Amino acid sequence: MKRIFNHPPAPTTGKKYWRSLEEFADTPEFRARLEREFPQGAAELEGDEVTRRGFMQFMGASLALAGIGLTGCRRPELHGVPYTKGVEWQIPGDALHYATAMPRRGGAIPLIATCYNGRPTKLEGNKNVPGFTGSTDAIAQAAILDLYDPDRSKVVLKAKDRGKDYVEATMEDFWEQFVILRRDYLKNGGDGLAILTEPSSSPTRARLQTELQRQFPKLLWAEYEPWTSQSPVGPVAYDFENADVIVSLDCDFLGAAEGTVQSIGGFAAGRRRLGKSQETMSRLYAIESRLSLTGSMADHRLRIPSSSIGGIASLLAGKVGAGAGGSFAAFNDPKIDAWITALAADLSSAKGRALVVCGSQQPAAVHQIVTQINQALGGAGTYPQPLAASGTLSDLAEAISQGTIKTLFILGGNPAFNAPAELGFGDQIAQVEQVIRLGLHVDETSAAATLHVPAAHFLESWGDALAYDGKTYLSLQPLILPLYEGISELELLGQLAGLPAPKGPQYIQDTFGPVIGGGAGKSEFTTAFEDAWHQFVHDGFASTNFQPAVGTIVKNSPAPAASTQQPLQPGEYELAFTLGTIDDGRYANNGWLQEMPDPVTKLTWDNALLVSPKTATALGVNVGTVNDSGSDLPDTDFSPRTSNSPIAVDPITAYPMVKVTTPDGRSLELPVLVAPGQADQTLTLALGWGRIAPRLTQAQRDVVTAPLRVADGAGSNAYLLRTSATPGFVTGVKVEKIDRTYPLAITQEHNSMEGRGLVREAALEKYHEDPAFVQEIGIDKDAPQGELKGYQNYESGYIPPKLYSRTYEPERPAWGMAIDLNTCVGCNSCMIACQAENNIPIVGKYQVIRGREMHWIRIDRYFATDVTGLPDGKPTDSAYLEDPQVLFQPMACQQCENAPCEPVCPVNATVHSQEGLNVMAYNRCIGTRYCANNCPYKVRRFNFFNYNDRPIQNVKLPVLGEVGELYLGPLAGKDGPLTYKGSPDSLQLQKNPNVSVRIRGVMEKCTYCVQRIEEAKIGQMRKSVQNGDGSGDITLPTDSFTSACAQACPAEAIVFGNLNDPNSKVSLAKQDERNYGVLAYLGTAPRTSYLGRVRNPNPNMPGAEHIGHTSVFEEESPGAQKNGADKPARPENVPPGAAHTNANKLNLEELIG
Amino acid sequence: MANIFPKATNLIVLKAGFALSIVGMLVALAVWYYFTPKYSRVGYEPVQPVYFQHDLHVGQLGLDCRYCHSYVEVSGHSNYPTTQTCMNCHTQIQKDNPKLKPIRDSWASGQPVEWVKIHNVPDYAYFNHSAHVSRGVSCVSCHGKVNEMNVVYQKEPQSMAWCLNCHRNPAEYVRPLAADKPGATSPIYNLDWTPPKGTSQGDLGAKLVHDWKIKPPTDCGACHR
Repeated sequence: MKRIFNHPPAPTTGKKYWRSLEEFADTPEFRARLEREFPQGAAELEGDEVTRRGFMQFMGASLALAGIGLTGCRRPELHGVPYTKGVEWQIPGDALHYATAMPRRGGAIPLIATCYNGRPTKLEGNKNVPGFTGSTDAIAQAAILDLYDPDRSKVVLKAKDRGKDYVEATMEDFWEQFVILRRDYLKNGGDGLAILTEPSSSPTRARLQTELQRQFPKLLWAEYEPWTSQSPVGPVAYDFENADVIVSLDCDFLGAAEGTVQSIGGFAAGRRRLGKSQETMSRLYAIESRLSLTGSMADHRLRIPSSSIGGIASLLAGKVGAGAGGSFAAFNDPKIDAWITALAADLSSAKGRALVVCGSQQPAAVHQIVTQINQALGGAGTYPQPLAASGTLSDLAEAISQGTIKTLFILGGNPAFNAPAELGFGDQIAQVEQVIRLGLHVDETSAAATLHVPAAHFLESWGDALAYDGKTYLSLQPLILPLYEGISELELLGQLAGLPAPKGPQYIQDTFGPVIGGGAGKSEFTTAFEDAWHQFVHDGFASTNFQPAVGTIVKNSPAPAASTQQPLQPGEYELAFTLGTIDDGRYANNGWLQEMPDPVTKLTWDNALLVSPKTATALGVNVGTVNDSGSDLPDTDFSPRTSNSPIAVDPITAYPMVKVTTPDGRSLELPVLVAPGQADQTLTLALGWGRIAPRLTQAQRDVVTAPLRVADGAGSNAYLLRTSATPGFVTGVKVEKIDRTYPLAITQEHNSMEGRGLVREAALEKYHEDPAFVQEIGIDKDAPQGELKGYQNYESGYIPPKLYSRTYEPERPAWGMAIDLNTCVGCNSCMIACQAENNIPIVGKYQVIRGREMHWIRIDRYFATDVTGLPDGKPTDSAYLEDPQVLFQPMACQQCENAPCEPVCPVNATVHSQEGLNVMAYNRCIGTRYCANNCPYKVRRFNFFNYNDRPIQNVKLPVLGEVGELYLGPLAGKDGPLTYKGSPDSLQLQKNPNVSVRIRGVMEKCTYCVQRIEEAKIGQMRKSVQNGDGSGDITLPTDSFTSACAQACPAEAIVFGNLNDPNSKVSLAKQDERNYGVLAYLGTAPRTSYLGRVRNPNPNMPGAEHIGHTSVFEEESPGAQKNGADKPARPENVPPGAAHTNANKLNLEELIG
Repeated sequence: MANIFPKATNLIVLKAGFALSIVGMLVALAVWYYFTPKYSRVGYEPVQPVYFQHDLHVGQLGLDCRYCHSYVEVSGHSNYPTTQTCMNCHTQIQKDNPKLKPIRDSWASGQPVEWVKIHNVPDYAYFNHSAHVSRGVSCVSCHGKVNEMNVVYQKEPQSMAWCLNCHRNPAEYVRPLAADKPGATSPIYNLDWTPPKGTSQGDLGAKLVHDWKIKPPTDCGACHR
């Protein structure tokens, strides 16, 4: 008997989940796309830059050439090359681990680096450091690619004609010039000398700065970073873990703010206060203009323009009894007033455990109001005190325009790109006689400099730093010699201060001495010092906290006046700036981060102007939105989607463009992306994109290589609109539609599964009533119970159907994973960790448009709208998509017990292991893609091209026009567009030696990090010989290792381990009542399961009844009766929800036998 | 008119066809065999940059395998010896032997000796030496009696079927780790070891497989990842 799967219809009450506006509108076009295995064009060569026929010609010619000489028929002679002398600690084939730290905006992240034969390949968090759980964020995971970036600056460049012509110079040239400089400036006390650098938490740099300022009293030391907190005390570290009520005022502390790793960890701990003990989970309110990660996690979210945050803060201050408060008459909106009143009541009732955080780009006055609110509520944060006093960029700009600066050092940063627009800083630099630039890349600032010196990456240099809390003292050690002779900032500053060139960590040791209380200023090499130093470098942190430590928010600061910011008038727009996946642009040349989808909009490789559906309608760019006026859906306007891009792409990916003009007349043409959850009248634009590599001649390219190949041309430069007066947002912006479109690569609809109870949620109250609420969602209760639960542990005695027959043994581990949707904030850290661990290539923008991205783990973002009480369960107007609730769901291979991909493989390339893994044998795969077709989770990725072997940028060819080098196939080669071949050497160094690098035509997917599993098992076998025979215990210790995604997760939402071990984290997690399998009713019995999300709405809040409202699949609901034909087929005589009897059990065996 | 072909010729076509198909099959088999590791790999004996004699060093002088391949117990790779390892002895012994010139040159220049790889596992297969020697698989099982080879050659086909042969019947190969008597070399590295009198490999192996809970994986993921 054939088993017919009856998928449940979309729920008609409770929530409707949707991933994109197109899906929401449910147009025939969207259905057509959904039915496809891969998005339009993904599986075809037609429409590519090279036609299929042309491609065959290329291939034919090269095959014929390859045949001459029959080189393939000879046995290649391979060589084994040992060291000449053994290297200390080095065991060929084995990894070494070193502690270091990544300096970041606001504070460093402690790391452990994995090195194979002297090349670092992977970074993990250092969990030994107090306050850190051993996790990282996506940017820290991607830092390893920055180290091996083939576009890094490699040689000293001297400008013959600034901005136009460069010649290669040597490091010796530089030092020669450097010594003369120092001698000359010593004579006049540094008059005319300026140093521009980025803020740093390095105590050594602060020490060198003080020393330099002593030697050169007239030195101008300026620090600049585009995204600094406007708060009078700088970024504040809050205790999110112990807060019961958290209010975010335009502060994306889970996404783009400083110290997100710790914030996410603390927040997740507060959300984990859930379960049998009935503790109170924390409650998060977000008041913001753009739908950020913080807003996505919020229980209540208020959507208002950034310029109104100050007014809201004043109003809130008044209501919680902090300071003057504002009347808020200007806003005159009873809804907002009710919202704020309920919020204030909740805050006041949680005194001492309440926290209000303010976005760093809000004006200082708003920060002061928030400080007062926090004081009134008894919550206070700490902030790191500045280590040394510095000037600002505007001080420097003024000095330059007065002509007093003769020599300018620009160490790191990229001010010519990201300085406030009104300064015209690139042109200003060009006025300075001598500009020496130390940088990782030859970039916009280098183009204005007289001398460019390659900088060493942080993984190549000694250093020190403070963590985000401002007191944990971290060490940085080099893991590899500088690849391109680069020097670190500290080396340059030290020698400018007349210190001898450092021998190893000398500068750091001189700072470290006083910290541990030994020696003042100079390191005295006593035994005690050496022990402490070695401990410091080995552990990655000092046991003694750094002094001066931190400040707490000062009490009784003068009461600020209520915010005077006026709300936006109808028809007035504000432009708000934000940070995207590449931070402030410094990681723009990192392909992993460029291709990492924005967590909320799922946009890759670009930034776009985010507008709300309503604003889009007003601007006439309402692509893919429901028509605001009409009630009969769908009425979606796809008309502007005809691309005039030279490259033929799926027309649905062409987005309309607008011209944005700020009040001071700066304008930019930008693609528009309609973003649900965006505040009306607010246009949000991420900073950092729109990098422009210096335009070089071919001769210069030979010297520099092509700079910024990844970043160049991706997105638009938002800094051109940003001035120092309005760093966060600017009001009074004019917007007009222009007659152009722009292709955007958005992954939100790729690999989409239809809404079948994939994400499950409930309000806290409902959870307390029924902790097993997840079982009622979807049609799980109708599915065969055995397959629904799948493999729990050996005792549970799960027997797979005959087709999949296999035996499990209690001694063998059974691998499983549980992902807690309640704490997953969607930060993408797992995605990049997986990419680094598993040698996953990037594919480039136009491949992403075709849906060919290779990420093994993706994060599905679902919007949710309560459709209770609506006819047909369908929303009637666009209001429903303006305030969506959001859920994140990391989705990787579920390692199904009864994997649908396995029986359809004609060559047995994907089979099941005895430990429950669904394994892929790449060398068997012949690329039929049947498995991907049969995978209900859409988690298999196909190598359409040799992505690991091709650069990703486009090149211009005489006949074919602009062509992605990906398509050049075997004719691509080394020295030019037609001869470039192979992955750059430096990128090969990054590859994990324990994972195969896949080639074209091979299917791949998540393996549960099988290389880590095997390594752990083998490691245990090695230990079993301790007794002199092999009788030692070969059972793996509980949770002795984990997968890359679980290790990187700052929220600890992903747990991985052995299900046969009752004490493992994953076994415990799977016992949670919130545990469910996605599409488990299909009988796939996935090994990965999810824990349902619980929201914590405030019952007094307007609209609280819609928050966390559970989707219920009830037959009684009127909508379901209407759709009777699509009703889930239920065996007769079985009441809904009744346990299955054997007679009714659907059995896969019937399918076979 | 008489028949040109006698009656007997009727079957010639069939017979010839049959014979040709036999020949064809034989040719196919021969070609097939020619491409299997049994033919293409076994016996591969490349010329090494240095005429190193395993029979002299191991067989006659009695060096332990681990003197040179020192990390076999702790790493996936069984390392080639560093030049330093050679020079430990050859600064004293045979220090002017012209055959050792590449070693001395390497020591002087710091440029490593490029040994020619004999046993090559494909890149997509992850073989781990330490896992095998710590579970009682002797060097001899995969590399043959290297102590008797003047120049090392490949003894076993090292194909996947050959790997699985042992993974499916480990008792045939597993040896004790501890030496029979104090001071003797462990049976893993004693290539001439035979089971003690009164026991057979089968019985001893079966006991070890049971006691040590040896369950060699036969999943793809064990080696391919």
